[in-house]
Amino acid sequence: MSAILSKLLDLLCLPGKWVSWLILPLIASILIAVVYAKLGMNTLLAWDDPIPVLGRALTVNGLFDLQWYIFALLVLFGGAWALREDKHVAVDFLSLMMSDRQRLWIRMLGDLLFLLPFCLIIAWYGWSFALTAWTTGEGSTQGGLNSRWIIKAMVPLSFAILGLMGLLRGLGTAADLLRGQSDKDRKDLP
Amino acid sequence: MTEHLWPMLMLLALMAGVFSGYPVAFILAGVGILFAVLADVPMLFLSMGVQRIYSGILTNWLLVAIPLFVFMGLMLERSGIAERLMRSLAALFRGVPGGYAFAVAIIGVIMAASTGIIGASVVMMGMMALPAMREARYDMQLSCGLIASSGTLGILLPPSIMLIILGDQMRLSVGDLFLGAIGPGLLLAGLYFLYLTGVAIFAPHRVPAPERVESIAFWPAAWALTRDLLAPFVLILSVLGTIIAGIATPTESAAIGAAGALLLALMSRKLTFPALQGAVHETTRTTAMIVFVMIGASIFSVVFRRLGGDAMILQIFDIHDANPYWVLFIIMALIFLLGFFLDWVEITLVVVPIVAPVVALLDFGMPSEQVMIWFAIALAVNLQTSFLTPPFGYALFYLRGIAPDIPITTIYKGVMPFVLIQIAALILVIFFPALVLHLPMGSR
Repeated sequence: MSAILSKLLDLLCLPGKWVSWLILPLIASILIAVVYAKLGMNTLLAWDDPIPVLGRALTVNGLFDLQWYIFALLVLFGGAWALREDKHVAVDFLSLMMSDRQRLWIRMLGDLLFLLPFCLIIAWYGWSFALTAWTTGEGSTQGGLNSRWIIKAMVPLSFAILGLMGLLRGLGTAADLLRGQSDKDRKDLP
Repeated sequence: MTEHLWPMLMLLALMAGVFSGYPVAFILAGVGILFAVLADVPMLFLSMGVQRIYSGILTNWLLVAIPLFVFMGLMLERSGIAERLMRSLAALFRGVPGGYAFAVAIIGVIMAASTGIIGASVVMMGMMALPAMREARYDMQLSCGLIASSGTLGILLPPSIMLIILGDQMRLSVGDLFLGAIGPGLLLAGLYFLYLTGVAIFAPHRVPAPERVESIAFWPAAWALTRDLLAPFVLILSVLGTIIAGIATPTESAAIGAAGALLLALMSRKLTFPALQGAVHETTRTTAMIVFVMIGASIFSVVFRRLGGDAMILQIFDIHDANPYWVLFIIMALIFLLGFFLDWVEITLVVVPIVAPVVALLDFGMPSEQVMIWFAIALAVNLQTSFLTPPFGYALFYLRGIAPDIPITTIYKGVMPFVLIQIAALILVIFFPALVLHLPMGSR
């Protein structure tokens, strides 16, 4: 696989690496929410003028929303990264007996016929899903965070990234298969 | 037969796809979409899939516990506590036949109750104990079998990610499942101990006591052990205790555990930037890996149900006149066999949603909620075995990875007695549901 393509695929992993660090605020926000709930308080901070996402106050309910937002980001953007590093759950005992070329064929077909349509469909419907949230100004129904469209928009965005990765990797693998280079550049093998 | 043509073909396509070695998550979703196209299901129907991914998975607060428990396990692994524990236990048990073996079994239980990451426990114990056991001329088959099986206790003993996902899939309280798993988990550990004691008494040449014991002072060793035990003990207590006492939800206690593990790593002076970065990166990939199978499975099952898959499964396990124990036996045997090839993620997310409704309809003379808790835990014991069964048990691969000079046949033969112990425990759990139900029902 060409060096540029490998670089591009690595770039698509970056959002996953960034959001990884949100695990630390996730831990902190749960601990804070636990303490506040035990004390019977809900509002952490309040102010006069409404600001985006938070509105007029940061509440325990807002923290709850923040917690699953972080979880969703970890999952959505971690997906492409896990694909790049071959960390996804796979049953590999048959593929261990195959030749490199056969494995590349399976990867190409999988990327283009299974992964890509899946990502296209989720990104497509996810887009209209997020758009509805945007036009209706959907927010939390329980006094949590406003602007639900932000997290909903992450669904089409992350699946677009994952789909792009599938497309690029699938085409790159196809090019390799055509050129018959399957034995070189072992780093990209599954 | 023809009425079930589509779901039948769907299952066949799924099997073929899964065994191709392409990631299961995308095979599930891809097969779902492919059959939606083939069977002329309106595309708009798939938008339900997006709705389910969003409201069932991404906004599911229970699942937030997954990255937290993974992070906690990785942080504990990096804190080096288990290594220190291993060293002090081994020092204490040094003079006794089978001393190392008992030390490994004890560490297995402690690691299981504090982390629940199979790979980490097996690798750690393999690296620490295997060389020492070899030097002490232990039987390598026994040593490998013991390390692999006590390392896999983590998937069963709470806090276990598998139990969280089972609870989510079967709509059961995770607290109940955690409580229910304690009995069978300790039963298994007890059976391991019994087996080791038997070996130490009747075949001491397999686990010889060293001929020459260097005299080490007892009290310093005992003090070191107490100190090293204290930290994991407090952590286990604060995580499990809060869930069991009903003070905290699994997600909250997972956050407490994650913060505790960070603190322990800090106190052991192991909290470096690379260690922390490694842990958060690994957590993200592991979480995505598990949850993506859930995402793929939700697309698959939307289409599978639409094409009448549920009805087909109920008809296959034609339950109206069958003995419920017979149906249960068939399901357990099926999952045991699948465990030779698949691991717990695929089985809990693909097979369990298919068979759980069948079990829910069976009459065991117990309230149905209790039946489901009991079934879930029996399933968990069964799935733990899948880590050990050749040819594709993950624990065996981890062990092989760190001890490449040990022939794989030695490892295979070594786990056999332990697989038999697992099966014995599974049978006990099935015939004595109180082993599971005593704690969750007693706590109400």
